[in-house]
Amino acid sequence: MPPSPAPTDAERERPNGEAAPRRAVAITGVGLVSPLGQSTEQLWQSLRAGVSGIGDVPHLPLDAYRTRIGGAVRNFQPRQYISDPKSLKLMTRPVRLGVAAVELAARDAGLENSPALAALDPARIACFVGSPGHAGDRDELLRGLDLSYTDQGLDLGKFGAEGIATINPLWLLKSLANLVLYFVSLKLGAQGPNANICMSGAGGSMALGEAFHAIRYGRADVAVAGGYESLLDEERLESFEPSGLLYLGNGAAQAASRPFDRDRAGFVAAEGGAFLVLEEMEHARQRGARIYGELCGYGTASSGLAGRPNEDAGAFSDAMEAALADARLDAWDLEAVFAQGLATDRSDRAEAQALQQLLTARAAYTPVTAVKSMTGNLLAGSGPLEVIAALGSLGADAAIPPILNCEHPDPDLGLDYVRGTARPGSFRRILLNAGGLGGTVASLILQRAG
Amino acid sequence: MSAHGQGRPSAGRRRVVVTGIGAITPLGATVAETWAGLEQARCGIGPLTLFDASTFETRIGGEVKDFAVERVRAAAPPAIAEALDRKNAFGYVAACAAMADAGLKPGEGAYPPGRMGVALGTEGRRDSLLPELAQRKLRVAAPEQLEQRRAALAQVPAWEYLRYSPYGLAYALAAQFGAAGPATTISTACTSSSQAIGYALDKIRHGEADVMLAGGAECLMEPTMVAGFILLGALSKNNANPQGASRPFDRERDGFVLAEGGAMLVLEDSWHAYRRGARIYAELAGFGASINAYRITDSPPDGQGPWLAMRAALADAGITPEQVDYINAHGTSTVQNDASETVAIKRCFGERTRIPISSTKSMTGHMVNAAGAIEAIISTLVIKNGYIPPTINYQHPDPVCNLDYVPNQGRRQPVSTVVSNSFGFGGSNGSLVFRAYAP
Repeated sequence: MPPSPAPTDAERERPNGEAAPRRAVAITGVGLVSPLGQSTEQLWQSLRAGVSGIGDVPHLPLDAYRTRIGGAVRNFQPRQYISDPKSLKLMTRPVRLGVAAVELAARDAGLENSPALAALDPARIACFVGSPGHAGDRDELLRGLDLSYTDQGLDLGKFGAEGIATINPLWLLKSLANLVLYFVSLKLGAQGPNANICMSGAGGSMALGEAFHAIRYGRADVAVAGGYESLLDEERLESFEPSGLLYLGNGAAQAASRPFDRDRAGFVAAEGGAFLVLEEMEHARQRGARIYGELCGYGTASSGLAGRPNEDAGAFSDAMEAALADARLDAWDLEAVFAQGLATDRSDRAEAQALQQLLTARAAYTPVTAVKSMTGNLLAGSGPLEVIAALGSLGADAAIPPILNCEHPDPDLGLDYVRGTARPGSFRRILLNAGGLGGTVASLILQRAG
Repeated sequence: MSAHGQGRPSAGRRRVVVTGIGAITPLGATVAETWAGLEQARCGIGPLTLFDASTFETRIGGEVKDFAVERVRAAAPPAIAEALDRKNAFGYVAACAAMADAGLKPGEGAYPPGRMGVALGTEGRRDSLLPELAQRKLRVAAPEQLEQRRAALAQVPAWEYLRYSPYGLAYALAAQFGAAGPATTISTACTSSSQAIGYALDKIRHGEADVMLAGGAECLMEPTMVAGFILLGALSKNNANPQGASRPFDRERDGFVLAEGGAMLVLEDSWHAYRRGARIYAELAGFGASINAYRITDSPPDGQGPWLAMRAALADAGITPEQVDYINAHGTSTVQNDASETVAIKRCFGERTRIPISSTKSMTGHMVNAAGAIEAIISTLVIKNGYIPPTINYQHPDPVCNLDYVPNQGRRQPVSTVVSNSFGFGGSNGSLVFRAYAP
């Protein structure tokens, strides 16, 4: 094959995609189903008051596990959110949590039976979901398996001949990785850009970031984006129990999640979903939508290291720098940080180091909080939930919620942690970090609209 | 103005080229072997051998032959090997081949870590659910064995979760190649790797990376997954004639045939590729995504979603339908997909379009999460080699599928612009446009 021909002058100028015009992106709806309740008001109030959502887990017998606590969604009544019984039959609990949050976000944005939605070209409505990926209910396979045992153990011949027919025919569809994405598209009649991003704790924020870019660069006018996940599930607990990342103690539930504290001992397993409606700013204004804030920066990076992927300060630094560049801002424009605060030894260290580097002298007085101290880790649900939390802190007479249990901040991790009570103030721009257990970090920047 | 639509200026934006390809498929352990299979119109489908499927309603598939995951793991750095199951090992092997093909080696200054990223279409799954379910059965039966279970869990390597997690392969490839840029895993069933390639295109265009490793990995040859597809009625039951089972667009088609493998492309900013003297296969000129908002397993009869994806991809590439020389169809060989795709192609390219269309799934089987990536590789080679692979097993014309499907016999002819389609369960669609690279 001949060598490549020389690029044209236009290519050589390499304008970094800036040839495309940039549109402002408003947040016009939020919905959440979380360990801190199922309404935005309740979330904001709990966070500000430093109330923990961590406790026992009513829906899952945890006798077999080393820890008996978690951030469970309490009083979850799926029928409040999902009326179609056939759809409900397809959904496992985590999927129901996600779809419920979508429903709440769509209602909140006034998109239900709305003329504004009806007037939109379906191809201009985007949906992006951060999800745990392939799931499904393993219990549904057990009956088929029971039938397939002989004295010699599992007999695949019997499984094929008799076992398979006893399995719920919907089993595979129930385990579809992109099931929530499918239901989002149905809910809104959305036919535009979409993706189902499975990047653990970074996935939900990446979904928001991709939706934000789709609107900014003109591929869509409205998007529903967010994430959901559950660690309060037998298979997930089994997967993470050996990892050394999960909190395995049995101390007081409310004191278990301790981001940036000297005695932090891993993340507390939790569950939930959080979705947002994003909208091109002019479109939102013209229809008189409530504007919670503006999403103005998104960056993502990964560790690229073998071994302990989620413990790399470089990935945090790169993602935060990329988000700032994307927003055309500098570090001194940031007035508060909603940190990932995973509450594992090394991840908090990596994140704090990266924040120290980024904020330099301002690290001493830029408030940093960590929502996971009160919610535990919802993985793909956490990023979007924390964005909704941060929207409650944007504005003139606002406050940054405290980090619960940060009694003795790790002296090596010197940052201005909000401790004890909420920190009042006026906050125009907030940075949020979300990290995945595969080493990817996504950073988002929110700003007050107008 | 629309970035992925009309009006986005194509001059002045970064262009993205394919500079490396790697694959392992039912047709062969390399891209060269796979391509040779396509040229010979060979079929990679046979009876399932990876487990005893003799009593299963469907017992055929496109298996990767003579593949030992242990060999791949032994050759990989230990902290990466932990993340490799059969599926991820396919992705790993394909990625190593693609990077070697592109002449890119980590640590040699070809790319700073932060300027390279990874975009994959795949899923996280257990190697086999059955042994685990057996254990679980034991536990349900005998809760007093709690201590035993705890002891067993204590033996599990700390990072084993990566092997079963959808992002495990992204971790492994980022670590292998020192890629610290954007990394993603997209799981939209059969559309996953097509959307991953679209994601990579976007990241390079917007300047967030100069090099992206993009592709997919798949392995479904496991009793519970095969059972799941059987229960959905999605698979061909043509066990008597495995080689004739995948028959896209043929009137007698009766479902798709599961296949496995990995396929990866190195995508690169054209200026970056030029500066390092890289060989360019083709330009990735456009991507379009859509979602059906229809039924979970079906494409709509009016072809709406697939049509939107193709329309968006053409607009993104800044080309008209008349410029397209070949369509690599999704063509799964299900009654309903092939009809819907035909309607969509007609809506996009005209009722009487004469563009050659073929489904290489007739030879590879359906690699599901990796399908978009292997078909992207095939599309670049169609351009490079001037050969259109056929749709094999095409014997009975279907009145609802009445376009030129390149039946049974490939064609040697110059091709400069290709559209590659992927449509998936859950309704996500992705179309890619590849063009011969001309500055």
